[in-house]
Amino acid sequence: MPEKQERRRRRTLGEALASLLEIPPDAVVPMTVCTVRGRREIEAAGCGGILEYGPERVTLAADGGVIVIEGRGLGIEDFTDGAVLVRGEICSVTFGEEA
Amino acid sequence: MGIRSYLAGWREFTFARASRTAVFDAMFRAGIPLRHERTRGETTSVRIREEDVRGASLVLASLGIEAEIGERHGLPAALAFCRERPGIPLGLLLLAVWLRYSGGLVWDIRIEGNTKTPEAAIVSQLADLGFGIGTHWRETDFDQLHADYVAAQNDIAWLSVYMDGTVARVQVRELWADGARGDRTHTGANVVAGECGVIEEVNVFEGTAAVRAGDVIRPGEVAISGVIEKKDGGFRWEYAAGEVWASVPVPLSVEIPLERVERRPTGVEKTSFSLKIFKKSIKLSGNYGFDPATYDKIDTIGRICLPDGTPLPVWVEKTVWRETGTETVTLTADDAEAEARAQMRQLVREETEGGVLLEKSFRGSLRDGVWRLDGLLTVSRQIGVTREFAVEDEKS
Repeated sequence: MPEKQERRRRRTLGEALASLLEIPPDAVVPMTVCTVRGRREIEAAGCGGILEYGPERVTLAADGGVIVIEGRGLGIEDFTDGAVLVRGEICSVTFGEEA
Repeated sequence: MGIRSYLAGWREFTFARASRTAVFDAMFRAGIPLRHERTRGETTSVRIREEDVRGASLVLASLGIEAEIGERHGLPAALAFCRERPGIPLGLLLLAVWLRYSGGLVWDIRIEGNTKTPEAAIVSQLADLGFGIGTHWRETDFDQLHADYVAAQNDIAWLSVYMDGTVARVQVRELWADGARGDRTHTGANVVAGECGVIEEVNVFEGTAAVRAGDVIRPGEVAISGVIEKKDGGFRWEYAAGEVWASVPVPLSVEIPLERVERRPTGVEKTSFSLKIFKKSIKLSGNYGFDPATYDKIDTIGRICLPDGTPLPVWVEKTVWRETGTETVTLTADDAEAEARAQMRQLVREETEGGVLLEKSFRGSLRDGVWRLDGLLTVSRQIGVTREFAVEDEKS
């Protein structure tokens, strides 16, 4: 089975198990967790890397795809333990497939 | 930058703005945090903790990105600065030691509650008991100090000393105005006349008035009695208190000889200065040992204060030694009269203080080389004095 499909199968099983146990899925399956605070800050934990970084667009490598953050005056304030903190005037957060 | 970053130290990395994405991605994957991103024109700078500098340099080198690394900041840089200038940390350490030491000394004494006892007398008495400016107050037994003070004098009935930082606050309660201690258990008192006069008014607080307005009273006679006769024939005692106002004749006399021997300055003066810090005195100029019989010594002491008026335990003492010699001085009659009148005015002020001057008359004459000025004042003033007596048994 291709690696991508294998990862999707494990994720689906893990999510089903989490649902059965009534616990958050990220406790069972490693995944990217985004926390948006207002329209000024977004913290993405579990990222794989920074693919693009500019004042109007930040692209992060997430689990199984990419996260595109668009806005104005964007800046990466901090990244520790695999979590990236982006601040600025956030206009949109888009999830996409990895290239 | 947080406290942890300050303690660890940090440096600033500056690289081309176009490389920003690659640099951030590489640092993120390497687990090297970047903070305080600043973009100036075509360059971007970030701060990296000192412990991550080597790792960050390797990462940038592996990417082929050139970066300018700034100087070290934070605590390590401060320590290096102090290592090159040992006087600064040494001075700070001495300052800390001095603050700690001087915090245990009395810097100032503030007295509250005294109305008739001068502050200088209270301070002097405390100094005799070993407590004053410069004393190590942490070693002072304040309870014993309070007891010793009250036992050593007769003006203060109660005293409390407590420290407010480095300021000693002294609270006192004075004895009654006429000096009585107030233990009335086995003590009665009469108010008697302290001098002769004509009674004007008797204000009785306790006891019974023994005189009326218009009565002539002599010194020692009872004005307010503390012996009260009961209706059944016996008597009981009280501690009489009150005011006895009388018009009192006050004779005054001043004599000024036309010729006399005076000590006058010769014009020779020497000045010395000394600095006093807490209890230590430091001579700043020469030590002059002069004969007090031929030199007058004038001491002027000034206390140094901060700009806001807070006094410091530092005094500057200036001593002027003025040589004097004896000289026979001859006055004219007019000069002698003027001097006599000046002295008489001073005597009048002293005698009328606390009272009211009702009448005055003066007569002057020159006889046998002496100008004599006699005066008679009539002053209205309080003449009552409390005289205690012991009570043994109630007599009927």
